Amino acid sequence: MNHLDELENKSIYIIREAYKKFGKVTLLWSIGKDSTVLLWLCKKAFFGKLPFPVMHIDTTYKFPEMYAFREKYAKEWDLNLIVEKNKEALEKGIGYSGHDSLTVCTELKTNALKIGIDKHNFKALFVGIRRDEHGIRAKERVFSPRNKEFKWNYKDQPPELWDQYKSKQKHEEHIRVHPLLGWTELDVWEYIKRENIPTCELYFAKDGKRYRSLGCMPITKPIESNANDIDKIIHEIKTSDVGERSGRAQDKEEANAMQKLRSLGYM
Amino acid sequence: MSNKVLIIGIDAMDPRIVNKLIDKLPNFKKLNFAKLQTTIPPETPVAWSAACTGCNPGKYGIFDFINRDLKTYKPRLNLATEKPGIIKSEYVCAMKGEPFWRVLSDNKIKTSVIRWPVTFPPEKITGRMLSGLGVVDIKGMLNSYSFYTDDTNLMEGEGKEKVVSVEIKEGIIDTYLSGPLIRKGGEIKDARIDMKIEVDDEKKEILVKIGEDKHVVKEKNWSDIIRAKFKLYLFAEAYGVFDFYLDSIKPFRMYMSSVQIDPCNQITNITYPKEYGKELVDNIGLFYTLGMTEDTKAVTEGKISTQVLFEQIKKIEEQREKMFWYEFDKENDCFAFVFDAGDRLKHIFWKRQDLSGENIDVPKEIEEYYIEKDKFIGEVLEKIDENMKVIVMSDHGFGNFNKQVNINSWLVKEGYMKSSEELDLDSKENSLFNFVKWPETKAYSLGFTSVYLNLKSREGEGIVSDDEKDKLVDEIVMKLKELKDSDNKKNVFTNVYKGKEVYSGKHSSLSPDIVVGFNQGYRMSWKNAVGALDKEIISDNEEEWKGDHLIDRSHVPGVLFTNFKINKENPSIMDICPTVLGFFDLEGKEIDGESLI
Repeated sequence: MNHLDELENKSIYIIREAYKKFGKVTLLWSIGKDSTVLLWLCKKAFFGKLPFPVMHIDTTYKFPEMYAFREKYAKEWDLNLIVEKNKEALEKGIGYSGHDSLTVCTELKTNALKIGIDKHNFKALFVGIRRDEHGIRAKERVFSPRNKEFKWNYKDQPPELWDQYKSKQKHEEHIRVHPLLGWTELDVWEYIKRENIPTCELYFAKDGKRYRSLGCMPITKPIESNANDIDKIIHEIKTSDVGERSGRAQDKEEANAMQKLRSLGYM
Repeated sequence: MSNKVLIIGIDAMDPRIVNKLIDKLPNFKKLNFAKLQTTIPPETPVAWSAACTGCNPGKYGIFDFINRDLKTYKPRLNLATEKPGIIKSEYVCAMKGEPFWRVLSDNKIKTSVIRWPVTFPPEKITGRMLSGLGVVDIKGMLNSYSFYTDDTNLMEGEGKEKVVSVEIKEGIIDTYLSGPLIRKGGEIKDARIDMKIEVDDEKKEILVKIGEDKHVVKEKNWSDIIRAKFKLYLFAEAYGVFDFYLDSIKPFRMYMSSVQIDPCNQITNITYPKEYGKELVDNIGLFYTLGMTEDTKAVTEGKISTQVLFEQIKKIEEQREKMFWYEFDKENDCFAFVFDAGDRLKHIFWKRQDLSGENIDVPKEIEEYYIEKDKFIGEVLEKIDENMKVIVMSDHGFGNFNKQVNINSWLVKEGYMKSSEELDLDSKENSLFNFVKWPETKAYSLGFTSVYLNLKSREGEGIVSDDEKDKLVDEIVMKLKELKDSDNKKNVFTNVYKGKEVYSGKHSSLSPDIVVGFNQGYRMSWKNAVGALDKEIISDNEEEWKGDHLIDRSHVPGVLFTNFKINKENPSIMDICPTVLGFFDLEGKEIDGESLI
């Protein structure tokens, strides 16, 4: 079994088990490549038709290309699409001009998500995060009650273990399931290529720039790149990885400073 | 007959646990017992320094594990300051006060100090010194284990820079040991040594070959402590010591401890005199030298199980006891020794529980540790003369760590800190204050208990004038005191202190302007500690690091056991130094504590 098959099998297993266990689930679809791959895996897990809705938390600051992509594939894939916004905050004028990004994030993302979960009474969310995304995300593992070896033993795991996460209260009484946690950026693109999964056009280079990840327009910046198709993107990731390691001394010093701080067990 | 003093420190020993287990601790029971008031804040380097100097932190300059560069605001560890040199770094101890061992040495009283926290680098005293917390490994880190594996699941995620990916080809793994960091032409690289591992599937063991040396390690077992030599530059080399734990052969999973400073070939001094390192090795065998050897990081990063950590802690404590007895048999008038593995043990094995009453549920690993220490104290009490005054003490107790709090996120929301409009909280910009607009920021928080104003007269890009300072401190203190957890309506802080009211002395101008005392169950978030924001001000702590003591000092007093009567019902940790000096009819300068005799 090749590497992508193995990743796919694990993810599909997790998706099916979580659905069986919780029933009231939804997939958080950001329209980005990761959650679109996750959506694809969910479709595969249930033979083409999702038995649960897909939820998009709309900050109203996404790129026009993302909204277009959402509408096109919601129809084509026959999704039960829920779009949630924090209307109250938006009416109050909370937005990137005039508010710091922490407030915007809390109001338009976190609180909008809480509103959505409360309204539809979801018990679990499928979220397409990957552990390798950023250092700051490295601690993400909300989903995984782990076995003695500290691995989430997805094969032998008795359903009771899922209950360990019932400690949350109110709106937080849901479980986040991260079926893509072990995937890397490269895995995602190689899988997109193999499965021929549609992705938003912003990922592909135009005039020497492309987006490596997609979010709200005011805080999402393109990278310098000429990768205008999937093969070139894959090539870019493979080679830029090498570039990162021999990267600027200043970045390395900063990473080293951070590593030193965190070598204290308290963090 | 003249007095002799023996001080045994047991980091994080908790009075509530002692009370609960007292019938199983017959030797502690023989001693006088009191709760020991600790420092603001109750952090290891702050509290042990108060004990040895008898002073408040304003007189020795440590207010938190972490402080910052005043110009760049970059957070940094405050245990020993590193001065990078061409070939190796020099270190300067962060503790600026006058400890009792200096006063005793000045008065020609034979004194030895082993593993007292924040004594790195060691100082010249009449007896011998081995540095404790603060000692780095040969990479200059407080911890940097390696993990060898062919399991792709373990190659990503937290601590992935410490994972060495391996492949077994015809029973052989070709890999390397990672050593000191070398700076060359603007790059940082690690010095490496080739290592070959022969895998024996049937015998469930491996043969590790490093140069000419060979070491057999069995599955689910530890290796001996191994020594290796790294070549750095032309003519420069560094020796390190470490061990392996082979968790499994298939998949291959092998932990390697930090490469620690070799006591016999010290790349930077960790003992006084330097030869004491070799003397100890000749008498008790090779030992771990890292300030904090107990590898809680490898647990929280999912590389070893808590049970393996427990085994490691037992090995460490066995070495330390040997070290203790070796020095105990020497001629000393004053001997101070600190055991600190029990602190790390509690951070991981703590059981979250309701601590509002006096009862406490003690996990079996923690109980075992206390019983072991009781046996040890029993042996000590048997061997001492009647003129030996014994002090057994801890720096703080312990509590729950259920929720984490990010004060920087709060400061942003309250408008005291201005973050870049373009900050993506999931990006690497969200660290080391990279996102802060200093010319629009009035206050910032770092470390585990510290809040600072951005003062014109102190910080690199300060905006708050000295005239505005007091009013602003009052305002923030008032608001923090009112901060509640919306989930349960509890106050987040038990106390919020003003730096100028709790600290005095020549280093107090560098103290935090505000020091927070968290309510039981709350602690600073790790992102706050390193100058980053969390999306939520208060969120759940889902780490394996379940217990903590970085809360208000009223919740976490330490312990004091003595074989002599003390003159106070509520002793303070600052009373230790004047008490020790008092037995030799000496007094320190500008001491805040009082002698207990």
